[in-house]
Amino acid sequence: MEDTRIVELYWAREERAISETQKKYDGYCRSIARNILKNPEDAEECVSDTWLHAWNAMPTARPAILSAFLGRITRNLSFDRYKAAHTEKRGGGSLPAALDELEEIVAARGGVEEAFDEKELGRSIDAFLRTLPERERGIFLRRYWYVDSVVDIAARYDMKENSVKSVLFRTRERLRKHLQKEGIAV
Amino acid sequence: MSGESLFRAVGLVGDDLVREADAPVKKRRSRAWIGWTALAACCAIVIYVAAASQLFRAGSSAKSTGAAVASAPAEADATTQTAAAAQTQEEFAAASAASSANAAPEMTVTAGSAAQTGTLVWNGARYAPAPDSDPNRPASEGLESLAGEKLGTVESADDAGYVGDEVYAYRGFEASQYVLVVHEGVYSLYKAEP
Repeated sequence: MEDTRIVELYWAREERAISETQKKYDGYCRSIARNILKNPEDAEECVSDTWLHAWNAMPTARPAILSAFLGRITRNLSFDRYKAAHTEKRGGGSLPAALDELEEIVAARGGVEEAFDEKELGRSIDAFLRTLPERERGIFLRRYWYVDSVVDIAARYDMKENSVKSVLFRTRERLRKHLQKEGIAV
Repeated sequence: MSGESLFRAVGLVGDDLVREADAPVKKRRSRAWIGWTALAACCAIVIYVAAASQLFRAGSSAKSTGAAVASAPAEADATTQTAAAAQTQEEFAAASAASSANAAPEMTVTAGSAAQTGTLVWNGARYAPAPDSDPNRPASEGLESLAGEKLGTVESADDAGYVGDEVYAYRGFEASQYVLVVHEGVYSLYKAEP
């Protein structure tokens, strides 16, 4: 079913919207959840919660890209669950390593943590990513949005793992400089 | 700010970017053909240079050895030359030999003295073959038709085979200028040497 039709079902408050969404995006959302959460059961619960959150969000939301809308819900739910259940340093999936890598950007600052607006930061990162070649942007998002493992990214882009790591390292460095230039303290 | 904050912020990028990152990856075209093409080009250059080198060496060898190469071309270099080079040498030597054979009489005419080659004596005067460029040669008609009275026979000649050949007058000219000599049935114009 077309995404626009599914959204219409949500807006019409027809429960078939959930079954149609699940039919089309279960695998997509499940892969995001499993990348973040080590426990499959936790991932399954997050995916189920995604449909509920989507039901509650529409209306008033009318997503233009339903996949990204649902994926973002799954990502946030999974991350929240990860944080809640995370008693060990190395708890789940590919996320700990991805977080460590993002910490490098913060650690490179070497200064005092300052207040920031998360939405402003998100807009700045969005603008930065749009300056990158499509391939590098895709690799960055596969790693830090979809939380894919380096191995999976290498397979997806037909690259060597070291090449993927190299691209990610360079992109993080460029992002750090971009944020500093934008005056966003990291 | 922490890595977690950055992680959440990354989650706020545009939906279009998120969708783009999930789209099937455009496979990069294999660039193997570039390597193969370069390799083929290198091989072609190497072969060309090698062939040119062999040809040059063969040519130099043939020139330096001259006629000796013509008599025994390939055998002398068989141990050091490739089969292709040997063949080239043979061809070169054969060409040289043929050239030498053809050039021999020409060299005699141009380099040698006319008094020593093909000249003959009649009535005490020496005659040499009139060149094709002689202005008094007939334009189109045969020499036979221009033969006058028989004057006698060749008394002596550089080529002994000409001795005794019949000598005829050349119409329109004094015998002291031109005569016609019949050798083996062929009329030839001879011009008196000064």
